Amino acid sequence: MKQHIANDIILQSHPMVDELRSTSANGAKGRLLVKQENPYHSHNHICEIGLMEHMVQCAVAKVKQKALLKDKGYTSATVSEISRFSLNFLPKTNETIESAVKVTSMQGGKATAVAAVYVEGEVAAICRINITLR
Amino acid sequence: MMKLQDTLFTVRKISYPNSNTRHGKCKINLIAQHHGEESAASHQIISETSLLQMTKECAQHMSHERYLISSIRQFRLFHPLSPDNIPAIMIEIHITPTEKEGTGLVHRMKAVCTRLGGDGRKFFEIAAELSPIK
Repeated sequence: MKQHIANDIILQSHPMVDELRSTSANGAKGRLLVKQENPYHSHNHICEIGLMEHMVQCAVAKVKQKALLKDKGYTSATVSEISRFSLNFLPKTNETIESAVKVTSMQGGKATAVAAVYVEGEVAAICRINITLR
Repeated sequence: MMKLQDTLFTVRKISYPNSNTRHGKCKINLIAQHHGEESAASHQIISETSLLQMTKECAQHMSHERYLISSIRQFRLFHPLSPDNIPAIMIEIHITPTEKEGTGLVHRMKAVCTRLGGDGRKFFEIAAELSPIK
């Protein structure tokens, strides 16, 4: 069953996710259209830090959704570590990036997620994100 | 002066302990800005991707290069950074140029951020590979 994750769960600086849908208990898919007015846009591309911000926002939102569903009483989620980030290419203006996030572990107020962003099926970047829930 | 989201920061000084541009200590003032007015008080926590961008900017200034972050082995965040609590920080950066098979020249970067004039408490540390770009 597709479920839209509420936008207000994504509490980050500049919204870098146009749409985020839950695909399973641990998975979600995100989407972002690369626009010129995006603050991470430069020289006809979205920069690598913008890609990372998109993945982080998707991962944090999914982890928070899981925490809410489990009713653990957590009110905030912060990133404690980003690792295994690898960049293949930078998506261009007017391309749509699609991402896949999977929460691989969640225990004792700590969660780990892996994320990948794609453009037309090609992997643009991947990373792993550790999140602390409070 | 550079701007990240609503927070400005200035690279006050870059010193080179070993008299080469591969090792630098960047002293940075954090200035919160709201609605065009500087404010000494800000409750905004600087996001992790903003910290990464700040470090990248410092590395570029220090080494007189332009970079693309091609991979991050580890980016660990120990304590939140807010201009309200921390007016100035130091980011110490080491860069090691390396020939990588299949990729060419990359600059391996290690960066550590501490409070300026403080007790040496670390805010974050980064181990990444930067690809020089023209």
